[in-house]
Amino acid sequence: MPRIGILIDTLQGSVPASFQEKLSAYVKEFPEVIVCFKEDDLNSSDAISRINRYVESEGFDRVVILGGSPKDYEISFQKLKLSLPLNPYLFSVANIREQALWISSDEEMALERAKIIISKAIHTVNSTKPIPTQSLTLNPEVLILGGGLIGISIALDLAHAGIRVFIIEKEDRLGGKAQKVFKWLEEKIDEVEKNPKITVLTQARLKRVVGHLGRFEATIECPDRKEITLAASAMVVSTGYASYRERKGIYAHKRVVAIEEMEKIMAEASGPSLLKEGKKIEMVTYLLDEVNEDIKIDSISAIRQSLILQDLLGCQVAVLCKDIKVSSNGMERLYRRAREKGVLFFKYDDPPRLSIVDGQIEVDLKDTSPIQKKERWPVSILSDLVVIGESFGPIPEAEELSKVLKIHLGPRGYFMEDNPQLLRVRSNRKGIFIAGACRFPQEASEALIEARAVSQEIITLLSKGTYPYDLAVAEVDPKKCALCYTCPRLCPHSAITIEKYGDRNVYTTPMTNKEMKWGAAKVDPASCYGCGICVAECPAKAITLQHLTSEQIYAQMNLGE
Amino acid sequence: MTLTKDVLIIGGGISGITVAMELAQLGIHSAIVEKETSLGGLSASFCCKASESCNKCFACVVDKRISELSRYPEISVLTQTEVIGVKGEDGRYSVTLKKRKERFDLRASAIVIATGIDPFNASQKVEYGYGRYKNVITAKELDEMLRFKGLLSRPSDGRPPKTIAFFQCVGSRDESIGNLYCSQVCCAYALRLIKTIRHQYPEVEATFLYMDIQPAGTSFQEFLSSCREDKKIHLIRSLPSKVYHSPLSDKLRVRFIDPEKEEVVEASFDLIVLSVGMVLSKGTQSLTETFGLSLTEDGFIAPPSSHKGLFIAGACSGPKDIDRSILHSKSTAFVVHQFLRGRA
Repeated sequence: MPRIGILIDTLQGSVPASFQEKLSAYVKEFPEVIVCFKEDDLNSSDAISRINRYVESEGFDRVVILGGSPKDYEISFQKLKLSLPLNPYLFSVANIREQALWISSDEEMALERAKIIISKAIHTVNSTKPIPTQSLTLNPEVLILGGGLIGISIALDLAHAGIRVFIIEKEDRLGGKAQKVFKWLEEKIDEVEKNPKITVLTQARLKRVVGHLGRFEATIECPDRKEITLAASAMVVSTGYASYRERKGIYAHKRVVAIEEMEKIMAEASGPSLLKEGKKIEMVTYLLDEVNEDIKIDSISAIRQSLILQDLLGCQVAVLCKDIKVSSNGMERLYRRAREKGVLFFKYDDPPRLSIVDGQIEVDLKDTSPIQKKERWPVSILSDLVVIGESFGPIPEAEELSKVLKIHLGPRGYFMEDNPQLLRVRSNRKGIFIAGACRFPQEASEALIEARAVSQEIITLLSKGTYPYDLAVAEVDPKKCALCYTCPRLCPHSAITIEKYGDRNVYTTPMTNKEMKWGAAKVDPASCYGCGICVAECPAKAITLQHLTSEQIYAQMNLGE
Repeated sequence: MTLTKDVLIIGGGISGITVAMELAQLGIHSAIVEKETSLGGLSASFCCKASESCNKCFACVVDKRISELSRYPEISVLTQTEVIGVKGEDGRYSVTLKKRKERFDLRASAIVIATGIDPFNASQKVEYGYGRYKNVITAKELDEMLRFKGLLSRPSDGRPPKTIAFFQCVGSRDESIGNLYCSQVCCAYALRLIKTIRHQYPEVEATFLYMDIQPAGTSFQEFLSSCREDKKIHLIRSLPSKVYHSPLSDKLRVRFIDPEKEEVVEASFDLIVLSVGMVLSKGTQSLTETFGLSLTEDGFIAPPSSHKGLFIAGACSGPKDIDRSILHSKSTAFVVHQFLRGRA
């Protein structure tokens, strides 16, 4: 029989003495209760050391505290670096202050409430088993998917911190989309290639991932169809975004170019003017916000380019957009400078119309800025070049990759963080992180901050070399598992796989009496968050939460025995 | 009295707290110096802005982080404490602190400045009548009203307002007061406030007067369309120039361009909310002088040129919302950790 010690926390005398007496009389009715102490302030270090002595001298193995909020005790015990010489799960708190004393001014009624709470707490600890803590070795090895700006930046950060990094890149070289934009990326690529801690696999594809946090095993298909397997403690998804250039109808015209192409045209320009097919370009119109309305990259690029075009290349520039997106450091000043230099900005609500007039493109729009209705003449701009934004989207492989990695995609097909508020750069699986444009295309400077936050998360995870976890998680009874695959499909953190347990799931067929081993669902305890979804859904009731078994729930509902 | 810590963090808002917690997880001891009586700074006064579902305002994260802070024995918190002076350089700093009348020194290898921002002082925009008309309030005051009082009322008579106008870009993108930058968060912030008010008080009609709507991340487009679909939220691209007060009806009159009628209209509102922008917090200016740091042309702290143990985290380096302040602080914690490793 369990031996329970009761501690009455008088909360510095705020529990009336008569009430304390009645409580201690009540708890002594339970056969399991062997001793009952009073303490004036349980949150003090003296009290904790006294309790430790009581546990030894009186020999009880479970503790129930009658006092205030369990959260207070949890925090103060942790802060005082004091632990009871007992497994934390053999310890329960009956909150008689908030749940009994404070809800009734009548002491008798409060006592009745308190008795119910106390009996539940005693039943709960009675049915608890100690739950051990385990730890997992984490080797400093990280796999990064995608060797673009973000992948490179994280790889260098981690390598400097002494972590072995593998970069898997689908193209034949590192750099991704950013190499066209940032010249300094060349140096970084060089640095990556020279760093002995970083291994780069180009033209490689992730085929399979097995295992969980700390023990991922990734099978990579290399260009020669050879497969290699890499072990990693954590993974980073930084696969970037895809862009799509509209080419239907007039958008196929040679005088319609994308912002990226414009970058190239401007880079090739020599002299004080911009030439296309030998002819001077005088009027450039940027048509923005037809795509990517909620991404500020196009606005920023257009303002930067228009300043150069207007100022150095002798063009007249018009920027057509729904909203000018300047929510980035320094952009408002650039926008103003562009206006001072003579760049025209128009805001539209209805999409502008494009038509070809004598080899040039006429852009017609209804400008929303004039105050008087009669002044709202349509504006037409005869342009030598119309610059459009490419629409950004998730990479085509995103869906396949999400299945291989068992991580979630958001409503628009980008990879999704588990909890945008609390676990911003983490995926739904422990040990897999998401960074950069594969989550959402954003400005490079912002994405680089996000990348560094991922580096910080990984360093924090791997710096201790081990990952401690306790077994207060779901566990499958392999004998009861019917292999219906309900739980692996439902698990929000992909912590459940089908595995063979060895001799624990031997099945004797009734007809032949032959012994068969079969697979059963298995919860990886280090990856499980203990949410209990699988427990509730398992048709065979084969899964239990170690820290909240059915008996304990019944005990708390006073349905026990 | 002299204390010794690995890192001194100036400012106990969400950025300072995040840096301290990230470092604590790596076993690095830090002290947070906060001039107010409690932690949380500006971000601790925000209310939850959920409507039918979460609108990702991140206000809850701040409360959660503050409550988690006490779990870390590596972090000491010094409230009501100010930085007086600093001696030393290159990772050997001795900072003089003042707590009420007591002065003491703290030695640290690295210093993180996370002093955050202040809301723009709206009385500088005289034409909006903030400070003169009781029913012209700032978005922060509205936020605090919802958080601490739990109800929406007009300061003049305590009655619930029926019509509310939100003025965007008060103190941002404004040449007349010299703030040539976008505060980056106010569009999403004001729209979330509108959304939560519309959810709690369905009879309230809200008008959002703006220049340009700035996007705010992953799910902003869906959020914005849900605002556009709401018949009682009017998004109007027109900033009014002046607020007039009608003493008899106690209403506030404003003129702006109505896109439907396509002409200048005059409308009256029960309550006007000014979406104030961000400026560097008071006292940070003198702090930058103490530490020999320079300011950007927008008046925020410029990143220190060389890594000598001085770091900047959060919105004092430029406007940031809670989300981006947390990410920025995490990235700063990484750099601080690397700096300390390099010295060891």
